[in-house]
Amino acid sequence: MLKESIVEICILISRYVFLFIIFMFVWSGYKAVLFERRKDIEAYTHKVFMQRGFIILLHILGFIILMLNSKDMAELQQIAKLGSVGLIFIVGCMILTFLVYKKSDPVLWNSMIFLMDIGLIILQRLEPETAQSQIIRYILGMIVMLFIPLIFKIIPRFEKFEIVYLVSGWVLLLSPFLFGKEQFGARNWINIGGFSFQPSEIVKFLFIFYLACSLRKYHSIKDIVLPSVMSGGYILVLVLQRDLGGALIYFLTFLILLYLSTSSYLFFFGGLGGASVASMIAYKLFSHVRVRVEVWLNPWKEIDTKGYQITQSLFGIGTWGWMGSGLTRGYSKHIPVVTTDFIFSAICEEFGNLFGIGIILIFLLIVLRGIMIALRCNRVFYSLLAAGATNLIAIQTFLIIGGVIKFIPLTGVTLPFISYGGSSVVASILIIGILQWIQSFYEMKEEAEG
Amino acid sequence: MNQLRKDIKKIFWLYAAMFLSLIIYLIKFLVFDSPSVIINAYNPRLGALEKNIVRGEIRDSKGIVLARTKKNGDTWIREYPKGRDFAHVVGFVQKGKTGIEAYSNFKLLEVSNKMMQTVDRMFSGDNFQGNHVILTMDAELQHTARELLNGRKGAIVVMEPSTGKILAMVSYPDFDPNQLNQNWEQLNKDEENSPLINRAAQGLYPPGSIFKMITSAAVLEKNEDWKDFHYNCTGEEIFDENLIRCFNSKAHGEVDLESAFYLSCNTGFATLGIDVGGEQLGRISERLLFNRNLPYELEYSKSQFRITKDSKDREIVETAIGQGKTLVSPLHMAMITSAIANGGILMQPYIIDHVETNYGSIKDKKIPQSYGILFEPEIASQLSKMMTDVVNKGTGTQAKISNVSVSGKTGTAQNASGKDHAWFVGFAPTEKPKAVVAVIIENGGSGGQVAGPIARQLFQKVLNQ
Repeated sequence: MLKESIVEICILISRYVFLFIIFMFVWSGYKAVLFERRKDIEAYTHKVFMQRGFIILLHILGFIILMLNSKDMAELQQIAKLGSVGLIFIVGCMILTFLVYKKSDPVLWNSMIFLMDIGLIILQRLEPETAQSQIIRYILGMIVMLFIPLIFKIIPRFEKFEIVYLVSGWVLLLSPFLFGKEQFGARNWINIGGFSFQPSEIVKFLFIFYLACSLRKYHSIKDIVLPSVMSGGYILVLVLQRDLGGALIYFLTFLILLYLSTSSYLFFFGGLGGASVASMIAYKLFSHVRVRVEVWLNPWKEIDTKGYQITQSLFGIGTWGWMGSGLTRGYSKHIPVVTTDFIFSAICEEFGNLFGIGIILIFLLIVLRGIMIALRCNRVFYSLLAAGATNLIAIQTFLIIGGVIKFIPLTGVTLPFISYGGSSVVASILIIGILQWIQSFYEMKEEAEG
Repeated sequence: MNQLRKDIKKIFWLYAAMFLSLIIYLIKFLVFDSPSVIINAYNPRLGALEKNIVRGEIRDSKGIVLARTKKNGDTWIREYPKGRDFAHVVGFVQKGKTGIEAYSNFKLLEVSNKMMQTVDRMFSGDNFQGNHVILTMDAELQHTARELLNGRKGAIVVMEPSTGKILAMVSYPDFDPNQLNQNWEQLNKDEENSPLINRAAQGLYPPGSIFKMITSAAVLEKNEDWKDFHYNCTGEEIFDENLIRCFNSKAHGEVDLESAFYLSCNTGFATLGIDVGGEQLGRISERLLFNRNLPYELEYSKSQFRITKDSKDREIVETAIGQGKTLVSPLHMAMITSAIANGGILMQPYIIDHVETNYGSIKDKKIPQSYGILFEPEIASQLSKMMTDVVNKGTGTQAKISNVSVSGKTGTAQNASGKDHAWFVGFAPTEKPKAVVAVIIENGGSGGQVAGPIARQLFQKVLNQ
């Protein structure tokens, strides 16, 4: 009884500490941006190191709470092991990114590491097996990402390979029709040698590379005909594969890059208008689109069938209020696919909704830094590439968080960095890699020039 | 390049706005939607909480316990000390949850001061104590109301018009919540008496003459020269092939709106109904929440009104005197009366006043809220005056109290189930109303004779406190 009570009190208090950690992390992050603009390098560096301290604190506290709650020795050891590997991973990330990406943006790295650590803690809490494979994916993603500077060094002029991006994009995107399997009603996975992944996650990169290449040369309307037709084709394929979230991300990415290169409201709003018409048609044609919308409008009507997911998510978010139930004290396991699509609900349930708001602000910080990188480029190609990469994160985050809190209809996409899932994790890390490379490239150039 | 930078900045603000809207929506969900969302029976958290939390008590406004959880050997049982008095309102937990037990389920299981309770628990080993829910109701008044029904089918609602507080709400036939498990099958089988239904909020009845309040309001709003209305009542008249009769075919002679109201002259009101027309009646009924959701937190039925601008005169005349296809709940009539008593403004009715934590602090105190203006002040005061005449010199004299002015309206509603239903709705004191009462006795006969005295005794009880 006494031990239980002490654990209970620790968990109750930990909620406030977690909130303090995320608050300080977010605050130092935005403060760092401010100091950087004022060229106060000392204060900037200080904030960056504070952020790192809070990441390590978060990690240690999270795993201590999980260990306190463990039922037996075996579980305790498993958690301790993962916690140690995680700690090494976090510190390793901080050091290696610093060494490999010269002059990169530490605030961006910190934000990514913070989110990955949240992913690790909440997955360990929900399904320990997924946490173990997740950390392998994190490591894998980081390794691949650390090679980006090398690749860019070998192939210096990326804008020349427009046709390569386009063709390989098509091949990959169409591959699920040949070796695909169906998962959660979407046919957008392929399986090669026991290793399955979602091609649309990889094609995302090819897509922004292709768009940045083709749209950078905009002079007149005929320059955008081909990219538009190709993008339309991609989106159509995704809709046919029933990957509505993917289709939406591709479409909005196209629209925003189109707007950036043409600076034309006509295209932007025309595109939105066209999309509305297209969605009306999709609504009439496809029953699964209709179901999504109906469930969004009134999930309570069919609460035990179609509305089950979203209502369970709302119960998780709503039951414990601002401060949450405390880590390990919630019932998020009742939410379907909680480790992937609904992971944000689990975070809100156990860490509290104020913490959830903090997570949204960290994503916004990532978007802000990405946009700042796009602003500093003096070549249109890199500018569009950076904006496109940032856009992928922004749209995906908005779609899934908006979906699980029932702000917009649910589209099954993952929450970048946090959700369980190999393709998504690796893709999100690579997006940051591309942004950081561009940042690093311009910093070095600026330094060389004087 | 500069244009591009400008556009990129614009896009950033677009993203920022999108993320901000997520945060705002999340806050909105937590503040406004989640209280009613999380009490859903499909929320698995509630069932899990019940296992290690002692359900809080439900108490009346003076602290009298209406429901509590007691330890009986190794098991916890829910007890209802006031038994049948609060059967419908408080509800039960044994066979699914109903009433306050269902609506405040989460609050009763919510643990405040968890930290302090955990420390207490370290030594005592007790379970966590859920919060207590305190109602606006008065157990004594509730008991009186139930006794006044005296084993007759029907319902009573007592409300405070200036706040919307529900002071009493009874329905008969009822059941003993402490004997629910034993009697469950029988209670469910009894379709003739349906004792599980809360007639006060879920029962729908033809309003009879109490609907003349609404017809009068329609007349007052539409015709500024309503004082010029005169009609010669002969006890019955045929309107569009439909014979309308006054009670006992009594001829009221020459009447105007006011006297037709206090004498409850059917033929006079049928004429007035045709004058104002279906469109106006429909419009005012819609405003008075017919066919619409009521601002009320527990189970209720929507009242029905079927007249539109295309309705035939023969339907309109019936509706104007409260027959026809119109159906109302006693709660709804209490709300309309309460708006008249309160100068036209309807205060949202409520039963849950606040939540009290284990350590006695008060949470979630409900602040009376206005629902909106149902009648213009002049209309409300004219209706109030006409209702005072009903009690002083009309059909409602049985509700009269010495030294206090009472206003009301009687109704004797014809229905398919036999003898007429007896209705009385009213308030007292007229000048500064402290209580609104709505009474219905099913198949009780004359509203003035049967329901009027009940209302009088309830007014006396409230005013003597």
